[in-house]
Amino acid sequence: MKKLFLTIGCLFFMANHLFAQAKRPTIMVVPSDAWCNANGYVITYDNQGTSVTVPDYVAALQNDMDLMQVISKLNDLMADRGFPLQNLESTIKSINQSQAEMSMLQSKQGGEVQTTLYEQVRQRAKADIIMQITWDIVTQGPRKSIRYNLQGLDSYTNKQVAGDSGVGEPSFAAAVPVLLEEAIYSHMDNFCDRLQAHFDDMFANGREVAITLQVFDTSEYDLESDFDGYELCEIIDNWFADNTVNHRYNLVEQSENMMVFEQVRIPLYDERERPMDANRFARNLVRYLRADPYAIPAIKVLNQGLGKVVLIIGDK
Amino acid sequence: MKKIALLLFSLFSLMGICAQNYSSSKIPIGVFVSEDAEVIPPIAHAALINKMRQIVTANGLGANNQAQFFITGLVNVTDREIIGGAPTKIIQKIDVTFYIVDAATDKIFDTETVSTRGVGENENKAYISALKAIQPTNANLKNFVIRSGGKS
Repeated sequence: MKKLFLTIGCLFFMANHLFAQAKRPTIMVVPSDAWCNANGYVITYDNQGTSVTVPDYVAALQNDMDLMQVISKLNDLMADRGFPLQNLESTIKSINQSQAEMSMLQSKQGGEVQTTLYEQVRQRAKADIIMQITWDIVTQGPRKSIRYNLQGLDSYTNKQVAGDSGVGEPSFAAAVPVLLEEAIYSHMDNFCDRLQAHFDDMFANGREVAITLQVFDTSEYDLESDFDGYELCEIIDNWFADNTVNHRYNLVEQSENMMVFEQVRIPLYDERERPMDANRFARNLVRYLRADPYAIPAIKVLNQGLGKVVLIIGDK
Repeated sequence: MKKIALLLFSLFSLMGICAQNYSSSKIPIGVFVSEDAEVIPPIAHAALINKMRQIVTANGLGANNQAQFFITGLVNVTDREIIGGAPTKIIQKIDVTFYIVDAATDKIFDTETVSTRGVGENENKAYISALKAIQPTNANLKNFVIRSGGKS
């Protein structure tokens, strides 16, 4: 009996240890586009005749005291429940500082740090899960209540992994963070439970990622190129069937130049027990395609985060 | 004596041709961008002027604002994407068409179009990034300047 307890104890410890080592998604609170628009924190551009409005997070963070306090309050509430969050404002400052420092860096021979346009585009605040908050104040005489909507969105699969919305009890409190805390506090556990359920599902059924394959226009191959009677897209499709957890994936789009795989379940660890993410998983596919009998010479891998990768066939 | 005279004549003729070639390769070229030619931000306007100076001087001609001949450029945005986020990124594909023009006769000697791309946190930076990517010593631009120098 003692041995049984010891074994169960050891197994429990090992499982906890392994889960702790897996790459945990990062989470960040951002105001929704609707909130930014309603409060005037947007920039409108003319995109060749079409008006495009995008949120101006920097202006919102610098000017709206309520927003800062709401983000701070949500960070606190989530941290108390074991989900420490990335801070939007600090991330933006860090990106700006890093860009400024790199632009001033020179080698002893006068060389500058190389950045491609793609790398410059990718230098934005990113998180694996975005907590999008929208709120407004409903006034009833001297009392105010807050109407809010909180969504936890997976950045790669675009799935809502947790959510909560409602109207708080009317209160004489004036401060938005207090109203929000009053409204959201009782629902926060529910939100965190759903988030935890998402993580538990990931541990049980593998991480859910998105992988896109495309083709450079200089490539001698496309996804319909024939290899011993099989088109390249079929070969790739079969590879996904063989290598995903429980063969779970969804091929949502396919043409001669593009294959889009979503809801791809990948193992949390590779065969050497190293934490697995979309990039590491996709590199196995790259090695498979570069080896005989396919021998595709060059495939570019664009790592877009923990759960998204783009492979482009035909060049580097 | 006749041979010496012929030799001297040939030598002087050769010197004349060399002098002509030298002068054509050093024709001063002005740099000009019309204020209303294209709607580009003022900072990008300055960047375009600077880029044209680089093109002219890097390819053997001299930049001079009082010249009869001048190089000018028109910018045409062929594609633009705006990515909302923190910070917002603007991606632009532009075609810059360079002209070498004779101001006295309004004659266009030659044109060359360069396609380029740039990215920035606002329109100015996206234009500057795209213009910065144009290499003054690019083979097509070099041929364009040499061709125009020959014609003028």
